[in-house]
Amino acid sequence: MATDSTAEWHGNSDSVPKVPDFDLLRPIGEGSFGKVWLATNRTTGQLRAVKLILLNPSDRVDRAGREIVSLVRLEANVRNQHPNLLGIQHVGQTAQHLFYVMNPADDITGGPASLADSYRPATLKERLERGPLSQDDCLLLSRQLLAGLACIHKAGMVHRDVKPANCLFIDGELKLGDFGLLTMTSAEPSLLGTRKYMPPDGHMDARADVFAAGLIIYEMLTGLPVEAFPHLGQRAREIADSSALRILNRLVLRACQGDPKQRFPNAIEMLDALMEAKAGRPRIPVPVRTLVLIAVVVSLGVLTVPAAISLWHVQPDTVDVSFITEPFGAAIYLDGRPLLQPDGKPYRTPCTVPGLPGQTHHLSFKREGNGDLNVGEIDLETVREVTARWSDAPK
Amino acid sequence: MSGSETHSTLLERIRDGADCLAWSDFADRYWRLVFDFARRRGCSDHTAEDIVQEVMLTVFQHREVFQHDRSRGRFRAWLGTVVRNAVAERRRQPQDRIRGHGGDGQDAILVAEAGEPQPDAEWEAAFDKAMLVALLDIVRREVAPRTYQAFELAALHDLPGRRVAEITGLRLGAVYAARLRVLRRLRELGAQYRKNGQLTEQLKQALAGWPDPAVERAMIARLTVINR
Repeated sequence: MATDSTAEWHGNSDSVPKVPDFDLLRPIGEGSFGKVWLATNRTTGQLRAVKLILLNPSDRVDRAGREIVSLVRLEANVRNQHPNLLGIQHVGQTAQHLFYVMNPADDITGGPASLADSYRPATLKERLERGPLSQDDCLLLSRQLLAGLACIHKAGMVHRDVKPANCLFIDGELKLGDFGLLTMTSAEPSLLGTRKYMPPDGHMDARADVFAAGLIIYEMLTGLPVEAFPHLGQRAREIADSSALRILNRLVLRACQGDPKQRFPNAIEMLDALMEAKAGRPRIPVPVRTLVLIAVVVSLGVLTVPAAISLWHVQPDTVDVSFITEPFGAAIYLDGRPLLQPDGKPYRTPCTVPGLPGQTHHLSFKREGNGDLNVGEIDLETVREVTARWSDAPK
Repeated sequence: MSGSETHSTLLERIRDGADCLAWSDFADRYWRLVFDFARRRGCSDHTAEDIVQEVMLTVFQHREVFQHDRSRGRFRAWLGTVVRNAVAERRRQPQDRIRGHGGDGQDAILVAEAGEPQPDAEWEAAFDKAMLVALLDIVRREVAPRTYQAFELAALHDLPGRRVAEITGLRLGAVYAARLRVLRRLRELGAQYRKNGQLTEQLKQALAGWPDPAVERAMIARLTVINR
């Protein structure tokens, strides 16, 4: 768990800590292991954000040591500063603290950081409190978040504390910050992190970063807190009507799978999937429909309207086919034999039957109260979905 | 497991105050009911948020009551009285005097709570809706995210299966199967809510009263504080 170290971040809560070259003005935020101050450079007068971590805390957790190790890792592995990672300008040490200096985040009003009492650093957490993001912002910020995280994953590291409060805005661009829990991918998965954004398996590896990123994109998309996932709330229809938001939603659903193996393995692949989907070459799973067959049959069982709709691609030997009837609950007969599940019970519509021979078959449905619905010959080499319904009488 | 069993088990679990997860479930289940009821009685979003926080605090402080009387009917009426009195108290006092005086507001609730619970048709209907949403929430946590979303989009937003498939990445057949699966589970959990066979219609109406996303975020943050 990310520790909340506010009570002891410095010995005396009334005194302002001293760091070389900088005057600390007031606390403006908290990271995983320390407090962040608004500060001015004594020589240049420039405004900066300075993070302080206590060197010798009473609970003997060596936060400063952990942070130093993380920063060294970051420095060693990310040679060229990435535009979506928060840049560290200087690292130093006093008798009591480790400190490092960063550019301050924009003000929440969108302007630059200032000395004004009203200044509050712009973070994604604060932005989300104001409601769902526009479609353009959702896409832009998702890309920026994933680009920053992908840079960390490319360097063989994991962040382990991806959350909206750690996404800051500088010059309007999202910067992923707070590297206090950063570690190498090869490290043993641990339970450090922020609970709300942790995957259910609790393993804080690259797939856990992906899970957290997925939840953040969910929040941007819906405006809802992570506790509501995957409820789409009042924005469901807007998401349904926008191809960009649909892409993002599919990205979220894959990133937030309970089974880590079904998630993107890292942010690099998640970012690739987003960019390819945006460019019209989707890698995020979309419904695979090779050929959809629709049949409307009158109650006497006569096939009246069979129609082939679209051909996307051809499948090899065995195929998975979806069968849907209106009403549901029909047994499926291929070549006069019912399709049975492994436990011997017949498949009933709607369902997807795996492993069917990809060749021509005779298809019919049987449903109690509706009689037989004879679809006729279908070629499962090309048909992946069959939709059929009983009609009371021909019109 | 029926809705009432779920409910009484939850009450038992929050009794000693040590089960943080149970408390979180409890708050999550009831806060929208209180919020919606207060809004319908003319309170602003902000006042309704305050009332939710007060009521939840009162429930938490009186959790030992559930040890002696945890029947669903009594709890429903008791909570209704607490909420109605909290709303009435807010409406009697000027806004600026009430705000920042959590203790005063609480006292008013406690005094009123000691009296006999009073029936209220509006409260009864609101409580039923909240229980229905709570059942949906149980199913949301049980099934895969894609399955839940497919149900929500197809059954509650009436979107065509093909569009739902595009949104969720499921195959069309799987969309229908997801819808059936969630409905079946809902029927199992909430047999008492489907007497007239209009479960999804009732759910739609219940969800229509949900607050907007900004209130959701604010309230969840405030309720987390009570639990600390």
